[in-house]
Amino acid sequence: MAMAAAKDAKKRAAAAPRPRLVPSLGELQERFQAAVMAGDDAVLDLIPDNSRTTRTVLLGVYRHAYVSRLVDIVGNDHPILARYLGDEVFGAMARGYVKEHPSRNSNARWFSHGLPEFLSSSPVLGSRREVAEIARLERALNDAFDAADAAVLDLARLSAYPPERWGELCLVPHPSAARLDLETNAYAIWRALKEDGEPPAAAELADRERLIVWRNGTMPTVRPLGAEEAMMWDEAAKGVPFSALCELVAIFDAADTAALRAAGYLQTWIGAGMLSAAKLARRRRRRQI
Amino acid sequence: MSLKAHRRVNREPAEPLPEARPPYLGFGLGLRSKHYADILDGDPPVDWFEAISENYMIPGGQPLQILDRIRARYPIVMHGVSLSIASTAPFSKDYLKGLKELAHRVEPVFISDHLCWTGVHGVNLHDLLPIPYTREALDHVVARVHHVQDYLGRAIVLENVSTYVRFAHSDMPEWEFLSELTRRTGCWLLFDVNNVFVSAFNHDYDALEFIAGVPADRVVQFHLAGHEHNMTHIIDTHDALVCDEVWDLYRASLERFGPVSTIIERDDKIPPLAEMVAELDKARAVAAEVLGGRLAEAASH
Repeated sequence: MAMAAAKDAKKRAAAAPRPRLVPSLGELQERFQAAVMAGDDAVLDLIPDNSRTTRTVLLGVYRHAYVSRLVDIVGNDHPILARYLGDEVFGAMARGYVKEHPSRNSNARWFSHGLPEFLSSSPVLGSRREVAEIARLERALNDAFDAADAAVLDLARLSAYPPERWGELCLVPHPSAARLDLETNAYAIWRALKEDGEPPAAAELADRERLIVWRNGTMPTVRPLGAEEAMMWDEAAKGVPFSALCELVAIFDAADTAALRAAGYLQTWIGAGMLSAAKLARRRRRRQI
Repeated sequence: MSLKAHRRVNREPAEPLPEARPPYLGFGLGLRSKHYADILDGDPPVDWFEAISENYMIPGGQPLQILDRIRARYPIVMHGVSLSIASTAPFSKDYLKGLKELAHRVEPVFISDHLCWTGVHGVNLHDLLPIPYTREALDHVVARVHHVQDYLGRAIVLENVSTYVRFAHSDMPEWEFLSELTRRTGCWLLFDVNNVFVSAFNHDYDALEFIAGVPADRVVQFHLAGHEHNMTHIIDTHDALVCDEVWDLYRASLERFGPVSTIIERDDKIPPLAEMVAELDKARAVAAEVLGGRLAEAASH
């Protein structure tokens, strides 16, 4: 009997929070955030039970939603990585990311942006270098999807320049374009899974895989580049004029066909919407004394 | 700036800036990417769409192009989830700037967000977190609403959120807080019928009291949605059909607030557009049954 009464009293005490000093709105929000993100229970003093369940259960709705919502975001942004790792490993990894990387942006679109770096330094997955590289590729594709809009350079606009001045033209990459160099076969793994195939075993590559990612129309696109084309793209992206690009290509391989190869790359880039403009290089003025 | 001048800047205006009530829009849906093709390729009988602001606060690409095309054919309302109007952290200037730029592009009928906070200390939990309904919180939110309305150059619309906890030191009910907020700032209210049902169940009050307690002339939009009932508490999941009890509350809301622009929200287990339209037709039928000729009259203005 006494035991039952004590139990009742305990239950009543649990139902009614102990009176404490009322916190300011700022203090309450700090406490609530700590409760949701770090499991701190101090805020429970401010919350009553409802007639059917405890305040711990009710607060648990926020705690659970916080993690599951952000884990879902990581999964939506990295569907191929999720498939590669499998639900269990991916889920544990994503929960670790949520714990270590609180969102600092108003827009959840950017929440998973730090995932490749997180994976590179992960004690569990860091040694599997293809994992971070798959995440890098998916991040680049996500970024290409909603990168800034810009005009797309076409041959008509290019032909507005007289042929004798093409050598002075500097090519402007589309804002969605990004280059990636991968040291593992992450691209082959990504592509196999993308096509619902069996991925090859992870492997380090003897020579790096050079990729370019961009938005072709509205579709994020990825394409491997040969060493020469990648070199020319990288130099073009720095603002090196076309004549100098041709010279670099001539050094890279057979000089007699260099101009033809460079023109071929340019044509491919224009056809695929990888460039947004071509501008005449500024001529250096002689400094007046 | 002197302390005196600082006080003057922060002081609440004696009267909120008068602003015309947003027009009646009829029956709409939350805009979801899964339905883009059906909206653009077909001619769905939907009067308007509510676009999640943050989904389009991005540099460029397809989502913005699609929003432009839908906007060319339908009225759009911008509905945000990250304004964090009740946070004690400073506003994100980048967020407000992005919101204003998107509004410039979209020309929405109005801009809404939630009466909640999303984080402090530079962190965003990406959730709609509860506030205590106190004088202190009210004064704080009133000042923040003034700030946002001044910056955007228009009155905003704020929604009551579903809550799972309440704070013991609240000194007024949620509906009184909302009423005072709209009276002191001139903001409008987005009345989420499902959220009222969820919060009323979770906190043991009568949802009809909430409906009776909100000023009828300030409600410019209704939300309807489904939820997950866990018997001891309800979670606002937006992943199911609107339940019978919420339809009943919708009827009660229509009786009190009259013809109000209505949408159905679905954020998970999103069905084909045709199924959403069928549920929207139910909302039309319920509204017609409750309001009769008043509905047609509102639509004709």
